[in-house]
Parts: sequence; C-alpha cells; structure tokens
Amino acid sequence: MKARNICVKLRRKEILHGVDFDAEPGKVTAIIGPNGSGKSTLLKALSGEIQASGHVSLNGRDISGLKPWQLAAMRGVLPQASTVAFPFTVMEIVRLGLANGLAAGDDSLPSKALAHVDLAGFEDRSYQNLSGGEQQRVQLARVLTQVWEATYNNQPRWLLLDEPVASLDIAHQFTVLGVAREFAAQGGGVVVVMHDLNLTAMFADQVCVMSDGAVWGSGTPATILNNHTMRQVYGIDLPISTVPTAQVPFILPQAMQ
Amino acid sequence: MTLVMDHDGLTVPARDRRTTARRVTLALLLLLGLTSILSISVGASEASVRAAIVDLVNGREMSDLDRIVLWDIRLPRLTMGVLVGAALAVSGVVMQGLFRNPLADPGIVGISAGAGLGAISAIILGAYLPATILAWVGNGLVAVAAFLGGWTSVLLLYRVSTRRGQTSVATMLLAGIALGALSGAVSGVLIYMADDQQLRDLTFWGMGSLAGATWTKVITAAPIILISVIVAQFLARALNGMAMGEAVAHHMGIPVQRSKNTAILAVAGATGAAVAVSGGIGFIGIVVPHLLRLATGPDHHRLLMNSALLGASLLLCADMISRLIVAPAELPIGIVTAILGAPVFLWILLRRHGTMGM
Repeated sequence: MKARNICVKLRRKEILHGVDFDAEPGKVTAIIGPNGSGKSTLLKALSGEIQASGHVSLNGRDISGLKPWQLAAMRGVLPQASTVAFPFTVMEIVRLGLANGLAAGDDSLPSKALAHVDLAGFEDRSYQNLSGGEQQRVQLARVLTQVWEATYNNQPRWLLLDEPVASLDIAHQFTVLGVAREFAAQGGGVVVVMHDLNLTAMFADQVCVMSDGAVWGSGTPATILNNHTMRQVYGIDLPISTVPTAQVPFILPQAMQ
Repeated sequence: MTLVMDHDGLTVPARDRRTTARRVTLALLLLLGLTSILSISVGASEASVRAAIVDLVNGREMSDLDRIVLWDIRLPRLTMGVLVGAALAVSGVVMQGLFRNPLADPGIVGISAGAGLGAISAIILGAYLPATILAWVGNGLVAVAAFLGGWTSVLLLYRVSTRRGQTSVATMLLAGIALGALSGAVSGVLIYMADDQQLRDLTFWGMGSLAGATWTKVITAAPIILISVIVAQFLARALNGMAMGEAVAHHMGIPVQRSKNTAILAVAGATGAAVAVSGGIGFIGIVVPHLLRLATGPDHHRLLMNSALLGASLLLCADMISRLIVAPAELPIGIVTAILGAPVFLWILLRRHGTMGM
C-alpha cells in the first residue's frame, strides 16, 4: 500500500498536508499520534471513504479507479464506532460481510469469525443489547468475514482498523491485536490506528507517528518510540521504559506471560 | 451512543428468522388472496362473486348490475388497493432504511405534501383551464399533477441536500420538513381560493380514499408503482449495509451514492403515484414494516417483499372497514388507517422513548 501527497480538506480547513504513507503486506503498521493529529482522517483517505487529493494505491492499483465492490474484495475496514439502526442479531450483521466479500457462499465463515474474536455462541444475540466492546468485536468479525483469506490470487488483502481496542478490556485487546498479527502472518497487510503506546510497541512492526496533519516520523517501535518523540509529538516529559518511583501498581501488556 | 432496545423477548434466532421470513411470505400471499376475495365480495350492493362465477361457468351472461359492480367498481378498487398498499409499505421500508430510522416515512420528507400540492393545484386551478384542455386531460389531471408535485419535491429536496455527489441524510430530513411546510402553505393559499364544491372535493381527497378507483386511474398508476416496487426489491443488500452507516456500506462494497439515488427515485415514484390516485393514506408505511421487523427481523431481503404483500392486504382490510362501517355511505380510508395506525406509531415512540431517549 502506497499513499503519496495526501491532502484532505474539511470545510476549507486542511486536515492532512501532503502525507506520504507506506505499508507492507505481512506486517502490522500502526498509526499513532495525539488527538486531532489526523490519524483517523488518514485511515479514511486510505480506505477511500473520503475524497483526498494525491494518490493512494493498493496492490499497485489506484483506489480512485476501483469500484466499491473491487475495493471491498481487497480490503476490510473497521470504523471506530458503529451504531446499527435496526435490531439485527449478531449473526445477521456478521453475515453482511459474507454477502459482500468474495468469500460469498461459505456459510460457516461467520461462526468461525465470531469464534476468532471470542464471541462463539453469540450468533443469536441482539446486537443492540451487547456492550460497546462486544459490538466492536462483532464488527471485527464482520470485517474478517469479508476478507477471510489474507491473500487472494497471490495478492495480499488488507485490514484497516481504526482504534480497534479502544473500548475493549485488556484480555480482549490481546484477542483483537492477535487477530491482526495472525492476518499479517498469513501474508495480509494490516494498518491500525492506535492510542495505546504499549500495545503498539508489542504488536506493530512499523509505526507511523502523526502530528498536526503530517507524518512526523516513522520506523520500528524500537527506533521511534523514544523520549524525544514523547516530548516533540505529545508535549510531555515522559521517559520511556522507566519504572515509576512512587508505589503505584502499573500494568504493562509487555509483561504478558 | 449505545442503542439499547429491549428486544430479547421478541428476537428469534437469526437462522430461524430467515426460515420464518420465508414462511411469512407464503402466509402473506395466502392472506392477500383471502382479503382480495373478501374485498371483491363485500359491499353495499347485493352483487355476489359466487353468482357471477356460476353465471360465467354456465355460460350465462352476467346481469348488467353485477357486471358494473364487479368489473367497473370493485375490481379496479381491489387492484388499486393492492397497488397503493404495496407502494406505501415499500416506500416506508426504503425511506426507513435510507434514513436509518424506523419512524421515517415519505410523509416526513415532504414527498406526500408535494404530491398533495400538485393535486390541490389541479382541483382548484383546473377550473380556470379552457374547456377543451379540461375535456382532453379529463379526470387524469389531478393524478398527473399530484405525481408531478411529488416528483418536483424529490428533485428540489435532492438539489438542496446534495453536495458534490454526497447526500447528507440529516440535511435531507430538515430540508424535507421545510419543503413540506412550504407545500402546505401554498396549498393553504390555494384552498383559501376554493369554492364550496372544490372544498368538498379537497376534503375527501385529503382524507384519502379508494372510492374513486377507475381502470383509467389504475392504468395511470400501475406502471409507476410496479416499477418502483420491483426496483426497491434490489435495494435489500444496500439498505442492510446502510443500516450500519454509509461509510460501512461503502467499505462493504456497496455503491452507496447510486443506491441512495435509486432509493429516492423508487420512493418518489411509488409515493407520488399512490398519493395521486388515493390521496392522503397515512401510516401504512410505518405500521407494516414495523410489524414485520418484530416478526422476522430487519433484514431487508424479505422485508421489502413481505411489506409489499402485507401493505396490500392491510389496505384492502382498511378499505373493507371503510365501506362497511357506515354502509351504504363510506368512510374515507385515510381515517381508518389513521385510527389503526396512529396508536401503533405512538406505541413505537413510547417504547423508543423509554430505551433510546429519542
């Protein structure tokens, strides 16, 4: 996936100023940055949801020249929050991915996808009665159903996830990011907007740091997540990899055994 | 915002819902057959379908009275009821899918009001037309004008609410309210100009009725309604996707803008034609989809077809009530559907109020 010189204007205000962005199949690429730095807007430009000047290409094809169904066959997108207008059941929602993706026909996929996000047995529950985190995982199951095989005709497929772990408990944060890692391991590409820097450090191969509508820097977590970045991008003096001096408990996902 | 709706008592498992929906389609077909037979059998006149069939089988001529009652009055009325009922119910489903709100209805976005303005203009200003033109356009004038009025309001609405190929549903709803108010105001001015006879015509047209059904009207409305209802059936996938939001629908591979355009045109066609021939028949578009969602869930694949069938049956039933309750006179059908439908509408509001704060 390549994006060149992406500019996005909303109500005459330029949100993104000439962003270049690359992501490789087989890797998890995280987009991080402060609130309002343009992370979600960049993801929307990459998914073709909003009009942007510049070029975005997916597997070598410019996305502006692709029809919605062609795009849908190449990439699945998980938005930040999805409200559903009518009382659909979980199964009916996950099946929507089936009806539209190229995997059409395999009726067992929705249940497999639900099991994948730790929601086995939720098929007949009413979506609107689920908690926010459960709803988010149902939506991920729908997206997974759409792009079940990480590669298709020797071309990678892509998962674009906008803060997929924002409303999840810590255990399910692992579940969901594990799904993303697995997708990448099978040859697919994953682009994920993240807030949690610890989880980013653990699960991302590449990190793109956004600041004020531009790319501030990018690299592997080890190279880009440092004290300088914290100060320059987030404006806080927070030394990384430092044990706090006060006696407060801290929970680091990195300590997972 | 988390939408919480207490549907657990009513929700049937998804896989079962699909089977149920298929069974419901069959049941509704039977129901429509039954209500059609009833509808053509009952009425103020003594004419009987059975006698007519016996006559037909024995090769005898039908009596003139029977032929007039059955062929010229009840059969066009039946056909019109089926067409209008299906049109209103399907318009409701499509609008609700488009606006992601189970209370949306063509009445709300000003399409019915626009069609109404057309009809009122025709009834009042038609009198000023030269007699030759009036004779030429005949009874179809109101129908054509109502259809044009509905069409114009959709086009205006679309112009106002669409920017760079993107329709904002919120803008469209608000613009629809404004257009509805404008149509209502202009209609009011016209009504002020009306004489006594015209006022009478207007009042009855406005309450809605199938009483004026003729084969001419059926032939005017049928092609538009049929095309709109059939086109709407192909919107099921798009409407399902748009229930998650337009962005999600786009990500799922649905041509959102094209689907929205198609949906708007289908609604304009079905509603415009229905209002033209039957006036203001309300609540079918709200009640029918709501009942079916309770029974078989919100999946549009079956909902669109089942709504057409149930809408037709329900309107035929309402029409029978309107004919029988004060026979030999008859109550405008709009009154019957309002009495049946308004409480259901309020019930939906109350339930939503408790759980969704809407």
